[in-house]
Amino acid sequence: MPTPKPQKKNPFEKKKQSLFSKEVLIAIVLVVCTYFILACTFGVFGKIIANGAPVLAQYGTHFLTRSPETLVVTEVAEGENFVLPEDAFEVVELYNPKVEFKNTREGQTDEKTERFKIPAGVHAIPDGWVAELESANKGLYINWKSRNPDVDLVVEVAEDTVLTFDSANWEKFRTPIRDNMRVKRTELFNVKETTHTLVVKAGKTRLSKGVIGALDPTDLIYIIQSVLTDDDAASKLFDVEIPNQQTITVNDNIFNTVIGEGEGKLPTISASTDVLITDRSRVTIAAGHYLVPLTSYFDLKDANPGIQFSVRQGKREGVVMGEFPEDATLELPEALYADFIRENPALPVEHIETLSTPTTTITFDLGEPTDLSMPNTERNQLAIFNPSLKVEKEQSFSYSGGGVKGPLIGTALLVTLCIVVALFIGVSASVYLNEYSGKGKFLKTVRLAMLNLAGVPSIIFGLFGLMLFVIAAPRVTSTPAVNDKFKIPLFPSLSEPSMRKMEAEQILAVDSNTSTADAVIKAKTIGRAKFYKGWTFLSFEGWGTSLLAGGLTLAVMVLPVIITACEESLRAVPMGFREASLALGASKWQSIRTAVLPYAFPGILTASVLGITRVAGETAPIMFTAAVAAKSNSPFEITGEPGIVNATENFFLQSLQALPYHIYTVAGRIPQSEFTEPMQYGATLLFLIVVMGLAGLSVWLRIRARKKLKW
Amino acid sequence: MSKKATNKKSRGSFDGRGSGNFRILGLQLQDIIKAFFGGNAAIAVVVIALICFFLAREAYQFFPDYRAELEVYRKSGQEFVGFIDDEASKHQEIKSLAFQAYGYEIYHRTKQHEQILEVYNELRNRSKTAAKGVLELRQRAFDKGDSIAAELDPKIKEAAEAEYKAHNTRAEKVISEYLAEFTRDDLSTASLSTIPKEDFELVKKSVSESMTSKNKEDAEFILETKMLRDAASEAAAKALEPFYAGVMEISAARNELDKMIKELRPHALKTKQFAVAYESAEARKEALAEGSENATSEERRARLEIESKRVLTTPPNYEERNQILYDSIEAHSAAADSMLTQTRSGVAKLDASMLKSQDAIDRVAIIQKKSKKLSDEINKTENALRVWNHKEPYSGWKTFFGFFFGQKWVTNSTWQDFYGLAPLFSGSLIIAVIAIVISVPFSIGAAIYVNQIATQFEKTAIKPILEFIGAIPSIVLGLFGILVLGDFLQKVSAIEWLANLLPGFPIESRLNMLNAGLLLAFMAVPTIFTLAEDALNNVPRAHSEASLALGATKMQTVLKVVFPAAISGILAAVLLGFGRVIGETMVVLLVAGNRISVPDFTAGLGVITQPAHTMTGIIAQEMGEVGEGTLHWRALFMVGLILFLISLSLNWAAQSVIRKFSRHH
Repeated sequence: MPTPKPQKKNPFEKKKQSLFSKEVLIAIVLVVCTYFILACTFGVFGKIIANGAPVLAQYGTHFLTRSPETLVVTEVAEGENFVLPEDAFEVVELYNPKVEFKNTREGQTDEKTERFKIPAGVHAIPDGWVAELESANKGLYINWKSRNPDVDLVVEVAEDTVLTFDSANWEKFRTPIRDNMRVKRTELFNVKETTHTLVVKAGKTRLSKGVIGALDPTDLIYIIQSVLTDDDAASKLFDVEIPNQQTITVNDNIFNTVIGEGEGKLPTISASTDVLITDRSRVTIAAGHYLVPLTSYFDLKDANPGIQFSVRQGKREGVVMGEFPEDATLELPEALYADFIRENPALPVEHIETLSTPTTTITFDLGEPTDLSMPNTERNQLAIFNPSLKVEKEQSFSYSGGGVKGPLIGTALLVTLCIVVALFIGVSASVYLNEYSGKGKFLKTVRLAMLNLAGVPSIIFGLFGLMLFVIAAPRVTSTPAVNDKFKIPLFPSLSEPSMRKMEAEQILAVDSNTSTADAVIKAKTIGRAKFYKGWTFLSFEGWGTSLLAGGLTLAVMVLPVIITACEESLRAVPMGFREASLALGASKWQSIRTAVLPYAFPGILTASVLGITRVAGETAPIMFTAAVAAKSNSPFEITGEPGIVNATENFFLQSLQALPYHIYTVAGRIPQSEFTEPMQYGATLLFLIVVMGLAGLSVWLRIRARKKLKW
Repeated sequence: MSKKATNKKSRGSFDGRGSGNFRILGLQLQDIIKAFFGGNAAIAVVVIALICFFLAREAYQFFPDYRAELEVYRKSGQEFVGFIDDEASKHQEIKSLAFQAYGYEIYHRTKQHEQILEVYNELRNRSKTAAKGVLELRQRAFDKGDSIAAELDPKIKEAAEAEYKAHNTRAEKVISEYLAEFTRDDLSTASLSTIPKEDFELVKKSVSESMTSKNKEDAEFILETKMLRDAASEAAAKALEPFYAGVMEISAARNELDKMIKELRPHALKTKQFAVAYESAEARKEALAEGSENATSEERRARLEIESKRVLTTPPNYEERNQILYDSIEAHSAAADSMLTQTRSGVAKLDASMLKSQDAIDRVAIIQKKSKKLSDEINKTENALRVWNHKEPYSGWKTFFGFFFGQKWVTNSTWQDFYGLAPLFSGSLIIAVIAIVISVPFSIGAAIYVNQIATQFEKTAIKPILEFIGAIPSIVLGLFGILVLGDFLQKVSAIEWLANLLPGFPIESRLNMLNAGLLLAFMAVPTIFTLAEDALNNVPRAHSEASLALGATKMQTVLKVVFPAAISGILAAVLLGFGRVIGETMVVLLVAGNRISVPDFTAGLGVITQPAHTMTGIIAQEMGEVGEGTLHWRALFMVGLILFLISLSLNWAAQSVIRKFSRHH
């Protein structure tokens, strides 16, 4: 401590000093506050860049050109001569930088494709083959006139098989295929079947659970007074009321269950027994392919439920009458083609040529058992090219392999749609607010609404979008959904939906003079989702989880931002421009169009970029309105019926993957592990780069516009 | 939408402004253009109106539906059993705390050995993965040497042994390389990274030793540690015998009550099934009859007709079914009394003085507090049971309060769904308060600094950066919270002196309210900063000039003149920041921990380190999985409505603060 000074010149000296140090302290606190925030910002960015950049560097373009897939980690035993196509091998190498692939060498295989012609006309094709042909031939869409029970189906009997028929059925079955069937042995035998006719007493009684179960398929009307639950034992008793005296016929099995001594059995007045004898045939059929009429095929299946027959079909109603409006030249891989010919002998297929594409393959050795991680596609190829692959163990991680192409495109589409709509409405609204409207109640209301809209949480916009766009938005359609909000009939429909569409979308076709209400009831009772009655409706049934719903939800959300920014740019155009234009005799609209909007354009551009920045990062509003976690095809590959109207509809009404939702999925909905981390950081960094790039662009545009446009 | 004319004034056709005589519906082209623009401007109003309409419509139907469901809950006697259940769950809290305390104490007494073994196991597993291939080959060589062929032919045995040796050397190399790079911070559990360095090195050595020794025996050090651990835990169990007896007594206290619940629960559940079946019986009967009329085949028609006739349409006899409940009241009081006395005597045996672990001591303290409240709880239940009457209608007010103050949000339950806002609201509120408390000083400090003190260069550099924060998508911050901040907080909170200093430390779960609050604080910075800076900017220069001219220093001017003048703008900034934070969805959904229960406020300020669920989070999480028009769906819309009202009122408050302010100037 310095010695106190002898004379005190300034009595406030000390106070001033303490004031000074206090001020310095406050200043330091303020500086620390500011720079702490900056440090946090750099910390967040730094950490994500530090972890994401190596991922992006490792995977490079792969990350941008592939959509999310399941990541498979396969434990492969050591061995030699593993084969993979060149591009697949490159991917595997990319995913396993630490693994040493020994002795890699190039080779070649030929991938053979058969090209063939199906002449114009209507042909019977099994359901399964329709899907197979369509997946091998892009753009092919086979429409069908009907499902036809009169056509023959090729049934493959893999080995000699013993079939059992009622004798009558056997004759029925045998007649149409007598020519091509090789029957090895036929054996006739009789089966005795006993039926019982029971007269059941009316009134209240107690039945056991087992008895009730046995009575269920019979015609007996009984009312259970207590509720059955699964955990009750079969002997548990239930109060049952039998409303009137009834007569039922039951078989032996049921009879033995329901009749007897003791509690819980069915009370009867009398019982009589009949014996039925049926002839049966036991037939042994040789292995081979047989042409069987579709109806007989079902008889066959019903009579022999335990036996599996190999028939390529999607549904039970196997064969459709596919329509080929003109000669179709199609392709199928070699192996499939052979099956196709064998299973469709009736089809007039004309073979054209065999195409062979040489593929470079890489053969490699693995010195020791190794964990190989790769996307599912590559894993499948590994299995195809190495039939003797020995796999010890396998783990899979959903959505963590591949790249982010799908989500990236999805986000781009959503944002584009959103901005187009929001700019249109936003510019129009701001023109009104700034150019037309005087001060008044309407203006006040609009401003208040905008102000409040800006403060609404994004999840509420999600709910709004769900209610308005997903569930209740109007569609013009000739096949309205039965559970829509309401519908307005418009005009007779122009074309009938195809049979294929009817089945795919569960449409019930009714007579055109059925009333709409009746049609709805009818469709509901047989469990159909839509109906067709030859009339076009404006049906308020919503657009489902779709690009359109999501884009519009985002547009509504970003509206306040866009309007405010547009208004600012309109206000910046000097009054003199308008006045000069009006003085020259231009109408109001003319002067806005020629003297105001062009000069506000840079500002509007800034507004749109600002809007994109806002909506690109939003997850909550698209969660229930547009986004899905998995989607197999790209948004631009539109499946379904051809035609521009259908394609447009399918395009806008498809659900999408979106980058923020994808990040949510990999971060929050699947279990964490070291294998999921690259996708998490990679996708996030990429997303951050996109959004921050846009944000930077908007800042730059704004600065430039302010500098440049000064009047 | 409402493109309908906003202005229907028709003008004369020769006003010189229009395009001649072009008219539609009596409107001139210019009017139509104006109406079109006006219509677009009105969309904002329409949207707000529609949001209100949708939320209100779904939410409006919520209360009657919920009430009807609760009415069934009462009629079926579930409510009666629910009272006893609640009482039992209060005891369950005590019971599990007692077991926890015992477990913590044992762990504490054997901790130094346990931790070594845990690290050892982790390192062993990690090295196994790292050297997987070589170890596999080594195993095969070993098997070869062990086979019958090797027994018969010494050459094979020799070759196998050489192979084994070669692989072993390689394995040793791979493992030692892997371990050399491994540090204590790489361990998966944060609390383990505090083990002493010497021990860690010894563990590493033991791992590589045991992995490469022929019979894979554990190394000396580990065997020793295991022995020490066993001895320690035996000693601990012995020392804690009286304590354990207390724990067991508490545990056994509820046996009688449990038995009673086990009988009554299925009975009530069954009554509920009757009630539910009865409510839909008429509709089912009709639907089946209608279906049979419209059936496609005769067979199916007959079938549906039979099924329609089999439907039971008489109401269940509640009186008779609930009699068993009324009869059990006496039995319940006996069971509850015995539970109370046994618990008390058990708690008395839990002597905190014999405990060494702080965690255990804390828990015993909570047990003592809770066991004192237990008798109140039992009395309350007793009274509730005595006045309970299944015929009494469930009042609208009770439904209303049950929603707003209900402590349970239970969905998809086989027993009964409850929709109580309290856990969600408290979670949202606590997180928002944490965020605002942290964010406000920093953002306002930064705003003052940037606006008043900073150099021009700093201003141009800092402002865009802070605005950039606003552009970071919330999902990115959520991911940051999961992958980085959670672990970081846990690690920091495990530091000894910090853990002793701050409440709630060390943090038990990685995802919690503090984590979410910190991220939201970061998110709120740009909102609060920008608005506060604007407010400071709007203070007339004359104010500060006058102050400086009077001889005040720069700081005095800033803090005593400029800041107070801008205070209302800053307040509005804080309110708007609060609105942004409470409406944020993705961060809280990912980071808040999503545990649906009211936070335990007995932990004091430490409550902020508990996981919670939020209003926004619950909508985002559950909305996708519920059917349209169900009660659950409506409950979620109700939550949405409340959220909407909160954000509207915050907005309104901010606006009125600003309005008041501008009137003064």
